[in-house]
Amino acid sequence: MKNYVLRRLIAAVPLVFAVVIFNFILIHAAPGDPVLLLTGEYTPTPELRAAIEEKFGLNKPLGEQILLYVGYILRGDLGESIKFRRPVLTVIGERIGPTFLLMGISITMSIALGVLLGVAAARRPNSTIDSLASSLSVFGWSIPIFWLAQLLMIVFAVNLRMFPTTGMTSVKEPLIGLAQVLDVMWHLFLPSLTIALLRTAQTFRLTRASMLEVLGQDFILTARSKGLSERTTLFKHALKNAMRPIITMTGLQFGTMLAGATMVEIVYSWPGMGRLIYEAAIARDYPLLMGVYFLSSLLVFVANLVTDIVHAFYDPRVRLE
Amino acid sequence: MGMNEFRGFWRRYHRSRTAVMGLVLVAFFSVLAVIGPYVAPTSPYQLGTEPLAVPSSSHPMGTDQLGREIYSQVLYGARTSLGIGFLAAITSTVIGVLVGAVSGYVGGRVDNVLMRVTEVFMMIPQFFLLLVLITLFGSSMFNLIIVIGLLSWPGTARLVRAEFLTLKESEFVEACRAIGASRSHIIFSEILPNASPPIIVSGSLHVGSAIIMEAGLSFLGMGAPDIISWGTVLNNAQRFIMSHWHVSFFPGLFIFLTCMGLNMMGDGLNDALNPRLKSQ
Repeated sequence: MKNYVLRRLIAAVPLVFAVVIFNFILIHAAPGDPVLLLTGEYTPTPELRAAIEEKFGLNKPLGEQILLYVGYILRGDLGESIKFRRPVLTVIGERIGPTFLLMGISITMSIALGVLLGVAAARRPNSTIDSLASSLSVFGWSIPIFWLAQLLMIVFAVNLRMFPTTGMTSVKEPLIGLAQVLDVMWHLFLPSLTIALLRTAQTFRLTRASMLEVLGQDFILTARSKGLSERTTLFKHALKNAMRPIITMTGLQFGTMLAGATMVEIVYSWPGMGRLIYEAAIARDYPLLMGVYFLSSLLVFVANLVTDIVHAFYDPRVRLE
Repeated sequence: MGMNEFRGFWRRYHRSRTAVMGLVLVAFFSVLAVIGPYVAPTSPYQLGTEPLAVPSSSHPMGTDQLGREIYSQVLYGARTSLGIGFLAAITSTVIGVLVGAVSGYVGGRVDNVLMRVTEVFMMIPQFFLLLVLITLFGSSMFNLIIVIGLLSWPGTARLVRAEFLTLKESEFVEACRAIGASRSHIIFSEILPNASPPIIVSGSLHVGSAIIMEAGLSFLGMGAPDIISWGTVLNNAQRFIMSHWHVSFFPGLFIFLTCMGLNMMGDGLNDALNPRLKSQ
């Protein structure tokens, strides 16, 4: 197991490096002045220009520039946000928690629900529950996430007044302890439900397909003929083998989920990282924009690494591949 | 595809009710995209006297804050949204086919390099990169099509590569090589037609995801500034969501129904073009 984790970590290094290089190319391939992209100043003073040219070695050969750039990134220096007048990394640090909270809850909900429904549907194809869940999943598969967020808001927050429409906390009275937790959960409900509904539809489709394939195999017949209970057969024998694509997809789709979370954060004014990249794009805060983009690529890599390791932990065959 | 093959395909396709429904939806919205601007009652930019009117017989989908007809905006938007969707899907399919075909047919080191690049592209947070590229290079309809196309090809490339890996070992390809056919002839005239069913399926699914991507960008206010698409109408609607549901309801519904139609059609095509899979 240790070996496997180590191997995966080493294999990740060139990929991360590729992302850094890609960032570098983006800054230099974009039309206009790289000084503008690195500082956000449309009319930099000669001193600032000189300082930036010195810092990033803009007058030196390309190879040296790349090394300098990689050096800054390794030290966690992503530049300074124009809009917030603070280091990019600090600004992102304040916003990453709410996004993790939102995504963590939605992913957990959707995997639990999607897998359960998928198993139920695959056990009895063409049954009522299968056709119901299958047709609902077509909806979930096609609906634009920002529109779903708006619809849920119109129905449950605006008309039924069951949930708040914006933010993460009630601003009026600062709460502490359990009251604060409940308050955040109350605000979290609709945004996380939006993401969870969409993800559930996709997890369901995948689980159903994967389970149908596994359930047709001989070892399931063996398990059944040994007289194992239906629950043991389904969950211990079949699902364990059918989980592979579900785990892999969670990693591969992490970037898409971040994008979905961005939309939801904007509709519900959730103070997360997705909202931040939107604010950066609207304000043309290039250092912040590139910073959020870079960190989210890293997050996607980490998510893939984690799902691979979870998978290897779960399935010994993977470790030996 | 000959007449008989087409009959067989159609027989398998129309067996599925959802597939036919998908085709009807896609056909409906495609026709709308073509004739929309001609049947719209007013110009989508024409200011009216009743701002934020609720849907009624005189305003089928209501009006926005400047009294402009949402109905006209949605009809005009159909052309933009579907146009961007189709063109971006064609772009990504062409890139995917080229990369996948070369990778699968040539193999070896070329394959290795191309597949590593594909993997990196698969893992990049697509939508964020889209946002970055549009911010850096500016937003126009052309840029949207190119950038969405440039970011959506990896899935197609992997699919085409897999098809090529199988097909290049088959006997008819061996025969072509034996009579001295050129490499490009074998790739494009011999293998590609045989690999087309999954390409058509993934292409039709890509149209839907490209429409959603454009709508998402426009919803964020990053769409092309001089055009009306379903996403730009939704972007405007976000400000009135608390008081006027109709401004965001109808454009969203149109995106949703179009994508659902495309997805159902894609599923149906998949079943009808791969009779082997269906019988399993």
